[in-house]
Amino acid sequence: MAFKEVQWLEGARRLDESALAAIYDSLSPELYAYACRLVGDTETAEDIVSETFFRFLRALGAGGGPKDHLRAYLYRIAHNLAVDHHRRRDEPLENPDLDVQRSPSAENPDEVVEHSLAQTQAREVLWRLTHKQRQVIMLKFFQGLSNEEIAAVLEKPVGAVKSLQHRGLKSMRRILENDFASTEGSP
Amino acid sequence: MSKIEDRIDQAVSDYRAGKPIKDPDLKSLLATLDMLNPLEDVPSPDLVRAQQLRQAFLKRAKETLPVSQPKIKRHKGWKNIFKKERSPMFTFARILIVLAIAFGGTTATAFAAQDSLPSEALYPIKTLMEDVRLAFTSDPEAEVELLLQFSDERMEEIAALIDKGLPVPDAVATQLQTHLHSALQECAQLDDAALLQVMEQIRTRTQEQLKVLEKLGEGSSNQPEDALQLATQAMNNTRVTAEGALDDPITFRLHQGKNRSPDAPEYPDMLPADGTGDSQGPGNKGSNGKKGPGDQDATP
Repeated sequence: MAFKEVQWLEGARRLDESALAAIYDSLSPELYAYACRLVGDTETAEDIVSETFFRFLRALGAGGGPKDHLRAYLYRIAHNLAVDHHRRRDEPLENPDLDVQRSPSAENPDEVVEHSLAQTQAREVLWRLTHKQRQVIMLKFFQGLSNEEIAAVLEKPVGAVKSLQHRGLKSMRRILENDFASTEGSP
Repeated sequence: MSKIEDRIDQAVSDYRAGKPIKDPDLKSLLATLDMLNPLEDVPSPDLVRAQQLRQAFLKRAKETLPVSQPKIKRHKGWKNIFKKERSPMFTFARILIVLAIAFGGTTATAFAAQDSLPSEALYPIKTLMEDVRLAFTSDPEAEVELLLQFSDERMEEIAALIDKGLPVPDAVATQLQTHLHSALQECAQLDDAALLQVMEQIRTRTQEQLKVLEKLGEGSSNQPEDALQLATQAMNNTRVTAEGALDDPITFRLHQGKNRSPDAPEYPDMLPADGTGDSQGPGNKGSNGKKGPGDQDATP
């Protein structure tokens, strides 16, 4: 665990405001990005981040919270909240919000729609993976967490992370081949 | 861990760094990651709202400050160790620990076993370690969390076995069923707020797992049906029970409470919770939601 994170955690356990503010400022952007990629909605992603930090605070207030691996702890909460949100929505992947999905580089409306559909499809594939496979793929591919950090999120050994990564990629390929072959072609 | 997993891990790192994939065997597998690229760009958050949420967090932090925790907690953990009634699992855990001390090297074995599958030699160690963890957990909420973790683990094993083209032993599905059943029983010990929160979690988790099971069933034509069917049935029953508990926690407690007589009817004749004498069916709301698991006898 990084030295900075150790210091943050020490401060957080004392409910030190500056430590909590530093944690929020440093980690909320990446948690927001993580949630946004999972749920595809900026407002929901903001709510997930907010709820993640409130839960963290509540745990600290009760004398609990993470003993170490603060970042992993927050990712774990955020992921569970995203899963809860995903399951509560009836048709989460059928109605992409084009404002949210727009690529910064896309100016042409056709490109915007195409990009949005590609995002929807990517999200659909991710949500078809198992809970842990999805976590590993997301955390490794987008968030750039090391295997050790992902292991802390999953509370599993690094070897298990690598196995999940392998199985997750194979599942993705199978889903693409079986269900998206007509639109994507075989990879 | 097999060598292929290390190679894939390296290839994924190379892919992320924009390096060419040198390993020709992995090119097609890594190409699947291309389809995730559209998710790379994330829209900026609403800065005003983000600032408001930050302020709300810090305000809540300030409000939390006066609730200071005692620096030294009264030591009461030993009560759990020396209390009179012990589950057979606790005895078993003690035996395991003694064996671990006696034979040495077991820690490393147990660590290696965490990633094992039911078809592998270390798998019994993995399940033993789970039992030990459960035996040493006395808080019902923590037990529920552990049991749900273990059910996730069984699901991962089922997915991994199917992925490898191996048969899924019925025992894995039976274990999944046991974990879920035990989790529900433990939930009956929780207070109302915790119960509803956990039930909501269970409901969403089981819904998600049911979809995964459905997909696994579709993609495993050469699998025996029994294990997957049993897993699906267990998952579905748990989902239905969780939904019922969200609607009517009192009846849930009566059905799941550990003190319930095994021959109690599915829907017991309820004593009137509100003093009116009206019986409560399974779909009726409880009057106060404050009854503990042992407060009403489920048996007539």
